[in-house]
This record gives sequence, structure tokens and C-alpha cells, in this order.
Amino acid sequence: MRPGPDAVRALVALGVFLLGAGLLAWWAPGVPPVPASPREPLRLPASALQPIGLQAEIDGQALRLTVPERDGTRLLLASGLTVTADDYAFLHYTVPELPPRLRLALVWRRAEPGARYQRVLLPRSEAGAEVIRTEGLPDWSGTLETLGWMVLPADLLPDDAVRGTSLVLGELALHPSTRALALRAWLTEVRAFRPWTGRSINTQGFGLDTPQRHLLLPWLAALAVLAGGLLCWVRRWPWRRLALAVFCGAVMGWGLLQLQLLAQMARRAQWSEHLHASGFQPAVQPGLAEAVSTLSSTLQAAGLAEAPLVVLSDDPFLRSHVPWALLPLRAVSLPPSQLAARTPPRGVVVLVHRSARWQHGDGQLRVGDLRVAATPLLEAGHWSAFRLGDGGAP
Amino acid sequence: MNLPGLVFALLLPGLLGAGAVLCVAGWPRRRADWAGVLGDGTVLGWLLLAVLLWALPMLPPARAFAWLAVPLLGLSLLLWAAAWRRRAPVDAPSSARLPETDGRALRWILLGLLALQGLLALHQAWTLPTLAWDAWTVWLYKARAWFDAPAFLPFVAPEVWLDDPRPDRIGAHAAHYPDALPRMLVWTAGGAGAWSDAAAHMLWPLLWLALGASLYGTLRAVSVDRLAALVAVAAVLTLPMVNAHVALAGYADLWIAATLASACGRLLRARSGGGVGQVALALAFALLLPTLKLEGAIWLVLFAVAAGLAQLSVRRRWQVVLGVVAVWLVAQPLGGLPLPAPGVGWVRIGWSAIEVPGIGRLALEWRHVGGEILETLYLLPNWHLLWWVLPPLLLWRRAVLLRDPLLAPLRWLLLAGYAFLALLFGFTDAAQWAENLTSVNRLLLQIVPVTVLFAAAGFRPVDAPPRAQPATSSR
Repeated sequence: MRPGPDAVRALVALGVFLLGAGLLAWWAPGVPPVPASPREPLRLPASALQPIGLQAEIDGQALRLTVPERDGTRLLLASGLTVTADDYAFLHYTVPELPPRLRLALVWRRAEPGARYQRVLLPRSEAGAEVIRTEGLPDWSGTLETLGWMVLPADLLPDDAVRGTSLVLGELALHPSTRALALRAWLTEVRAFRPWTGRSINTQGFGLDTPQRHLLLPWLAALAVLAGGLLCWVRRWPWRRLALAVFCGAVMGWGLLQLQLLAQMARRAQWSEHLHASGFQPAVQPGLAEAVSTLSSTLQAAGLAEAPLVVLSDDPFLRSHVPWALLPLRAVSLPPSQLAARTPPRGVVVLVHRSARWQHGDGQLRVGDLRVAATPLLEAGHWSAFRLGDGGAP
Repeated sequence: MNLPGLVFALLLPGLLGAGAVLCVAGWPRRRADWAGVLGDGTVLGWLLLAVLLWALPMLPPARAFAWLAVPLLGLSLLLWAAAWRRRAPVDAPSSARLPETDGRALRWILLGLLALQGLLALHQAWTLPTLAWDAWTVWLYKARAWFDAPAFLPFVAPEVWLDDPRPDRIGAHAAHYPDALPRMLVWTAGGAGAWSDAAAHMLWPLLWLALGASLYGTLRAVSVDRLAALVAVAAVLTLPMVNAHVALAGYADLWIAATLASACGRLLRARSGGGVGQVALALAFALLLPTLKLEGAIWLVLFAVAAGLAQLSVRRRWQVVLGVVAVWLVAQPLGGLPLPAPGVGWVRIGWSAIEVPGIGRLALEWRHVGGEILETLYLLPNWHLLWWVLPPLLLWRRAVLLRDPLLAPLRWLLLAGYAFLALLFGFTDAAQWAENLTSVNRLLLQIVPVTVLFAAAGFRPVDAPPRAQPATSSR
């Protein structure tokens, strides 16, 4: 039976739509990469890399790694390389098994004296293999002498939440630029899991080291116009209904974006369950929870539970977050220079992080420009507390 | 955590607010009107609760819920009963029914997607610790500090507190910020029985629902098709920025957005024959804006100006606008034109600078942030396709949007609102917030629901019959 004219129109429209979507996708990743001179990919199987801070065992073609029961940097590196960074524009990596509590970063270092390690978080791979664009990464130039992986806890998870966790790594492969890889890198970036960060309340598209810069929205907008025009043609609508047709196309595009959002939300739900289960208060500095507990009990024992508490730090983050973490103890936070300009009353308890490089001697606390008589109260992890004035120790 | 207490604490203000809306605006005549009652009532109820707690500063914050819940429940029931008694008899004429687009399948799909997103956002708000900066620095910080205090003690700047650390005041950053939101959070914690970040966060998913209900009710009240109204509501509630503010609970911007949308919705109802009650509600919502954030004062002024201009004839309107411009020019040699901003003080608008109490002097000069703003609107995943769709949509429905007298206040409000944002980000130091992608989206969020409301109202039939008067009787 021959298809009717409407069916033919629909098929033709579908074909045109798919062709248009494909052509637009060719453009959507951004400026097309300039094809480099023919060059073989550089392949680095995980089994050929050196584990640092990780327990490793061969797992077929891949390498099974286990996070040990101690803190430390966890790396899998190949050193002594001679890689010309500009020859390779894309990284293809395979990760057969990556638990949600872990994330991976690409690590590299240039072959220059004093060059520092650089890293970039890798998008989580649900398909087991992904591609990212390396051109444009910071310090991805010149000759690279070290390449590899870094294993990290998932965003905001504490280190001890990942001890004993295993993962399986496959291969790192650097490729010269091709359009096919550009498209794959675009798809990776579109699907990349971006966890919530402190920045998410202001703008979306972050959550990885490289912010989202692809052209998904213009691509969908262009598809909406194309779909609207084809819909008008298929349904034989008068062209004055084109606006309605394009609006319908935009609704479909919006629907696709919403499905992407829901997928992100579902993965974030999984990630937040780990946060919740570990009882972790993110952004709390190491040792602060213990410091708060110790400080609170010490002050109570000394009859100083109502003493005014000041957090001294030049770090805006510590100044903003620590008073919150100290609640219900009443605390304010100031940079040391502001406290130096004032005459605080006796009995004020000052809490100082070691990053403030404080010194105490001869009954004096010195923090930056601040010189004040103070008595040491306690030390807890990275934090130290002092009572201002010549009052006796608790 | 006392879960039943938390749920009761979350629902009671909405019950109270809905009762107030019913009493003032009348018993709903259509099912769709209940969406507006519940949505606007929720927002109003929480704002009124904050005002009540402000009026009782010596009340122990941790006991506010325990002491006030029963009286407020009684008051709510009284309001509902009073509204029920005053409703019109059953044989009163009802408004003419307008033809509706079917689209039942699409409606159920939209509702399903919204439900799924709502559940995921609720889960996030419940499980995530307080992640956003201002939440732990300002809004939740104040609430938590109050919760452990013997009364609603005043907040002072950290340096001021340190100079004299008396126990009858609390040192806090942004001590001068309005505190309606921390008072609401104290209530929520009281219902939960103890301070809990998760309990405090629950206010935002509730607000998300209320915003959707309010927008739907408003659009149906101005005779927008059921499907179109639902599409508009979904367009707002699915925005990634809205979603982020629900999941990462603790910011006040969504509250401003919802309150402003409720104010506009009630004003539209008033203009379509809704009576004095709708005007009173619009006024109430607008006057409560400054209690939420400092920007609320700006939106209140813009709302009042827009509502006033909409009442004037075209000729009078231009006379007023030109008159203000003339006064501003005359005021330049005297240091600029002073304008009152409730809750903020006198804002002085000069030729090269604007002085805002509490913020300082904002120099006016062109800043090159067009690229960053275009990026955040059109490339980054903040707004889905909203800014791609809006311009052609406004063009498509311009006949209604530009000429329908019902929509005049929204026209003026959006014109003034976007002009204010353009001035702020294009000509002042606030441009750095656009460059580093911080506040620009949050300030846009405050006006986006009204923008979508305006665009969706363009689909109302221009010959829609006037709504019947609110359902009250002379009994």
C-alpha cells in the first residue's frame, strides 16, 4: 500500500528535521576545531600508570584501585613523558566503575623547572567513556612530562566518607582534533553531572572546573524554529500560524531541557543522600566540629559560656561561616586588622585558625597588626582560643 | 524532630492567610479561584505571621509556635467561617464560561513533570545542609541566633557588638537587613521542636507550590485558557534558577518574586471588577515587600508608580512622566532628586550618582557588561528557553499586551523594573555582580514570574466578559 501524501510529508519533514538537527549539532559545540596534522592518539592504560596513595590490582584490561584507610593525595601518574600539548585537543577516558562517592580529575604537569601540577575535574561517565576538550585548559601548552588521574571524594564529601571505596580505571587517550570528537565532547558536556556548589544560587552551569560554554540553548532555539516551520508545512497551516508552530517547537525544546534538569536533579539527589548519610556539614573546616565541641565544653567548665566570642581570620569564607557553625554560641567574625583598631573589653574569647599565622608569647597574642594581651584557653585541631586581657587561665 | 508539629507549623500560616483572602476578597465562585486563594493566602499568611512576631519582640522565639499556634488556628477558623457566612447564595449568577482548549494529556504530562521536579527539589531541601552563602550568613543565621535567645533581640553590626557585647543584642553581618524571613524560620523551628536546617528549608518548597497556585489562579481569573495558564505556571516553576532557590533553600529572592506576583495578581483582579477587597490585598502584598529584602522597597515604589500611572489617561500619564523628569533636572544643582524608599530611607538620584542609605554612593557610568548578561540569559542554563521565547511571544501577542487596559499596571511595572535593572547593572558598580555572575540572576528572578504572568495574560480573549463581583451576600 502506498503511503498517502500526508504521510509522505511527515516523513520528509522528519528527515529534514533530523538533517537540520545534525547539521546544527555540528556547529553547536562552538567554533569547529582546526584539524591537526595526522597523528596517532597517545594511549595511557591505567595498568601502566604508577599509583600513589592508592592500593592497585590489575582487573583484566583495567586497574582496580582502592582508597586506603588514611588521608592523603591519591594519584595514578605516568611520568617522564614528552608530550607536545598542542598536538592533542581532546582527551578520551574510560572509567568502567566509579562509585558515586568518588570523582576523578585529570592531572598534568609541564616539563619546566618549577612547573606546578594542574588538574581539571572530569565529568562523571555513565557510559563508561567520555571525551573532553583539552585545548584551552590552563597550562595545557608546551611539553607535558606528567599525565594521570587524581581520585577525590565527591563534591563536599569528607575524606573519611570514601575510605575503603574501590573504583576501576581504564585508559587515558589524547587525540588530535577531529569534528567527531568535538561532537562527543559536546555531548559529554551536555550530560555532565554538575553538583550543587555555593555558586549555584547565583547562576547555573558550574559545578565542574570548566564552566558550561556550549551552545545547547541556541541549538534548541534554532530547532524550535525549524520544527515550527516543518509543522506548518506538514499540517498545511497558513503561514500566519507559524508563530504558534514555532511556540510548539519551543515547548518541545523546553521539555528536553526539563528532562535534562530532572536527570541532574536525580543525580544530585543521590549525591545529597551521601552527604546526609555521612552527617557532614559541608564547608566546615577540618577540625572545626571538634573545636566547637571542645570550646563549648571548656568555656562551660570555666564559667565562660556567655563570654563574647570573636573569630579572627582574613579569609572571608571562614569569617562568614564559622559564626554559623558556632551557633548557639554567640560569635562575630572580624579580620585581625579591624580588631586591632578597637579596644575590645576584657574577657572576650578569640578563636583563631592556624592560617592566620598567629603567635603567642609574653602574654601577648600577635595576629597580623593585632597585639593584645591574651591567655591561651585551648587548642583543637587547626583552631586555638585565647581569652583577651590578663585574666587567669580557666 | 517533631514531624507532625513541623507540618502543622508549615500549614497554619497558609490557613490563616487564605482565611484573610476569603474574608477580604470573597468566597471563590470557580474551582480555579481556589488556586489563587491558597497560593496568595500562603504568601500572605507567612508575611502576616512575621508582622505578628515583630509586634511581639519579648516573646521567647523558641516558644512562639507553642504559644501562638492555637490562637492563630482559632483565628483562621473564624476567618473561614466569616467568609463562608458572607458568601453569595447559590442562585447568584455565575460568570460566563469561556471555551477551553482541551489538551488534557498535555496538562497531565505537565503536572506529572512538575510533581516529579517538586519531589526532587523537596528531597534536596530536606537532605542538603545549608549550602548558600547568604543563607548561613544572614537569613538562617539570624533565625537560629534568635531561636536560642530569650527574646527577639535586636541585631547590630559585629564591630558595634564587640565594643559592648551585652547579652541583650546579637552581633550579625547585615544586621540592617529586614527580618521577616528569619521570623518565619523561627516559627518553623518551633513547630519542629528544635532548630533543624532541614525543617527551616521546608519553607521554600512550600513557597514554590504557593507561587504556582497564585499564578494559575491569577491567569484563570483574567480568563486565560486552562491549558495556557498551566503552561505559564510550568514555565515559571521549571526554571533552573527557581529550582535552585527551592533546592538550596535559604534565600529571600523567591519570596520577593512570589509576593510581587501576588500583588500584581490581585491588582489585575481589582481592575477586572474585583472590588475594593482585591485592591486592599494588592496593597497589603506590596506594602509587605520591604519586610523581606532591601530591594522590596524598590519594588514597592515601582509597583505604586505603575499602579498609579495605569489609572491615568494617556495624556495625564505623559504629563506626570515629563513632570518628574523636569523636577529631576531642576533638582540636580541641589544634589539630586530625593525619593523615599520604605525601609531604606531617602534615595537621592543625581546626574552622575545615586545615593542609597545602607549601601552608599553608586557612581553612574556606562559599564560594558552586555556580553556577560547575554551569556547568562541566552547561553547558560539559568532560564531554559525563556529569554529566547519571550521576545517573539511578546511580538506575537502585542495587540493584547500593548492595548489591553487591564494589563496597564503590569506594562508600567515591567518597563520600570527592567529599566531599573538596566540602570543598576549597566551604569553602577553593581555591574561587577553581572561580570562575576552573582546577583544579576537573583534580581531577575524577582521579576520573572510577573513577566511570565504578563506574557501569558496576552492569551486572554480580548472580548472576555467581565468577572462577576466577588461572592458575598448582604447577610
